[in-house]
Amino acid sequence: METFKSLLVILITAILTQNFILNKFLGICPFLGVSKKLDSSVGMSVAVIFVMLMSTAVTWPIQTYLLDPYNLGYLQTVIFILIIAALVQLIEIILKKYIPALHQALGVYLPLITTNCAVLGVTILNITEGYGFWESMVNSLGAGLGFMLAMVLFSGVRSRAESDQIPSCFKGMPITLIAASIVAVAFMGFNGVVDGLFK
Amino acid sequence: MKQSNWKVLLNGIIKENPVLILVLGTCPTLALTSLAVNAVGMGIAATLVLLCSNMAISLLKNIIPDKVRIPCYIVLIAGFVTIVGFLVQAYAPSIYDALGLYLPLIVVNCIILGRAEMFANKNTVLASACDAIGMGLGFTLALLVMGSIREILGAGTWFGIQIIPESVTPMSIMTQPPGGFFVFGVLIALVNFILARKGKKRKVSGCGGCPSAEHCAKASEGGC
Amino acid sequence: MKLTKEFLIPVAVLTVICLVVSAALAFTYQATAPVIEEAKNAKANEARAVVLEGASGFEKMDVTMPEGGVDCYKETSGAGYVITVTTNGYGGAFNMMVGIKADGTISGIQMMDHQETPGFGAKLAEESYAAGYRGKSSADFSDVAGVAGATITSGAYKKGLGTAFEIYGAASGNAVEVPASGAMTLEDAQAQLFPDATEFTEFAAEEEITGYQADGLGYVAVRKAVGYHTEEPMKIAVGLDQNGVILGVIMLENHETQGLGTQVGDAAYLDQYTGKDSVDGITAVAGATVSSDGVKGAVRRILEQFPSFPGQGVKLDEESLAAILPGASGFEEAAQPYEGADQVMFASVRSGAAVSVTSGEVQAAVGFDQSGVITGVTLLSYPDAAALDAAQEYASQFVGQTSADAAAASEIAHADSIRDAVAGAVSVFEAAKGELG
Repeated sequence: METFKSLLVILITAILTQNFILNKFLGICPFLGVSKKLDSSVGMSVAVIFVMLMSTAVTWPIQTYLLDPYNLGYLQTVIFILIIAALVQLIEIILKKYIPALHQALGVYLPLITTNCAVLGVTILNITEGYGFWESMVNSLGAGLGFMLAMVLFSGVRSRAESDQIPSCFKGMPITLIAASIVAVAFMGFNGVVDGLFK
Repeated sequence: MKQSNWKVLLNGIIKENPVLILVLGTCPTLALTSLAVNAVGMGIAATLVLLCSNMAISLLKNIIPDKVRIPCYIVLIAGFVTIVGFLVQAYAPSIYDALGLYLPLIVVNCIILGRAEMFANKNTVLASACDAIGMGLGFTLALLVMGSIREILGAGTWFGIQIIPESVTPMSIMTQPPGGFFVFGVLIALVNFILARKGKKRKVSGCGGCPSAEHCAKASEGGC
Repeated sequence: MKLTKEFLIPVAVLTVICLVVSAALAFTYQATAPVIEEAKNAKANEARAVVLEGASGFEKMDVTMPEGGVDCYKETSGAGYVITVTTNGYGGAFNMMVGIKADGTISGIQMMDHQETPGFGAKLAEESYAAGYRGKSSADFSDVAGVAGATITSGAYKKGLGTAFEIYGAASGNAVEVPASGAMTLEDAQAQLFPDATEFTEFAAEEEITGYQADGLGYVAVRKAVGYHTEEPMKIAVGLDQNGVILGVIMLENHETQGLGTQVGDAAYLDQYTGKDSVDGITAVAGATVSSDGVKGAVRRILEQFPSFPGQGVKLDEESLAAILPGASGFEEAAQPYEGADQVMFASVRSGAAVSVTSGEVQAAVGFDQSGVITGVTLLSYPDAAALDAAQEYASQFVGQTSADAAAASEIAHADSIRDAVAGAVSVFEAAKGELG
């Protein structure tokens, strides 16, 4: 029960109180870029969740069984990013060959994910926080879900902002950012939620 | 040659400022500007990496085959990031603590990979170096401006020196995530305003700088 | 050949670059690692020196760390200790380096690696705030005020100091005073509630309540109250008069959050209960709802159990007295309470004693003549109304006996409670017969 509780806490923290986009500022580029429409937001998020989970599944064992025991910690950045880049390529190839429908839907977002701070960020965070394997997977899942939550919410905000009168110098990026700041304030309200969850 | 290199350098500071015009490298821009000193630290670290990677890639541009060019660039950049990380950790540990997670994340900073794609692999080493310095300076300056605004409004200090009298309560939300988004948005709006006044149309968003440009369906639409 | 060119060469180039980069990294790592290590140590020792005045050198101590403890360093010339603890603030966990002098008082505090809000929680990291703790010992550091608008950080800060003192105690072998949390000992509480009572007789009650009869004046009921810190519940003492009206609620043990939950131990909150016989209308302490509810729940349970306290339950009345001591009159309450009895009364005319005892769910009144022979048994309280007649008949078998030993077996519900009640009454009579005179 204790493990389940602590996993649940990690999950909810990653989604709400330490949301990757709105608290940690990871994954901003796609957040600002791809969140214009709901379906592209969802598509991107699903791809991100997928890549995050797979990356964690590969990078965590490598760190634990290869890098740490042989004192190769300084190779972390190089190896992690290479793994992520390779995984993304691999996923693209596999999708194209075996699940073309999915490739049609997600394929366009996959290359963007390689340079996505969020994916590299979550793999490094899992190590610095000292999570075990399952805790890391849950954290990555939470990070991805939080990413999706922020993206989907934001696409709603943006589609409303589209139809509004905005001063010309604010059109485009600025109004998007200001809208993001308001959504971020809303998420600040989640501070303290985790503490009170299990009391 | 010198003159056009100089122009290249200035280009990165104003005309094609990576943060305010090309809107690249947004993650560290938002994350590390709650204090002016952190902003400068990040700017300098990124500039160092950019300089090294641009020069290295320009040097090797004829050796690296096109097919594996992205992975090669990534390895080189990651290597430089790690080295710069060690140097910062050894000689400026407080900055290292402040940068935290974002130091390794310089690897995926679009600015660096973007400049490699756009400039370094097509130009001489010297020109690439100038480009790197220009872009790096532009990045650092933009970060400094944002960091200063957020620190002064949000904590009343600038580089730790009390600017606003202690009796005035600062808007601490400025140093929190929402403040980051807000100030960034206003800054870009300001830039748009200035550009419009000068009659210049805003250059289309930095898709050219984004390494995924060739894959991205949005590139043809003129940006994300 | 084309395959080679298109495939092997790119891969070869990539591999070479990887190897070169790795070599460069390994080289830089070796070169900078000692510098980094030294910088870390120097920084740590520098921080330690700031926190403990007059420090010249430090050596690490091997002490078992409680939760939240990070490390403990002893100053080599005996000036004291520097202890690092970790505690959970608003923006996540942060470390505190606490310098404790050899005399057990705080020399300095440094908050490190914190992500608290600038202007609020971050204010606790300032020297001006830490200075307020200088010279405080483990008993009085909790008196120092927190920072307005930074409740969580302030609470975490104090908790960290508490852990530091705990480690200091373990490392130095010195006794560490527990901060006075406004809590009282049981004896003091009893004296405060019943200043005129001389003796408190203990009795056990349901619902984890320990009760003390106060010389016939009332009761002191002690119970745990589970608040915010479920692993360390509070302990309260409730004073009740004979009619179940609360005379006062006193906090015996309070481990709730300093400055927040601890407020439920203050008079401002507890005075609400005085004069009430129920918990209706009690207002919780703002910001300490869970702690307040803990106290309220405990008081409510005590009130619920009140009827089962010795001396409570159904009182002996004329009818029941006539049933168990026929022909007797001039009844008077016993001068003192007797352990195990709810009520003891003596008859002056036709001398005898009436004892009511509760056992389980049954309350029985037993009458004795001067020589201890049972003259009557009546059930004052019996849970199963339908079986009352049968139970009463069962109880009557004791008439003429001097003990409950010869009880017949019975299938009546609560038969053994009836038997135990009678047996209890017999022992009470043994103790009380001196008063028969």
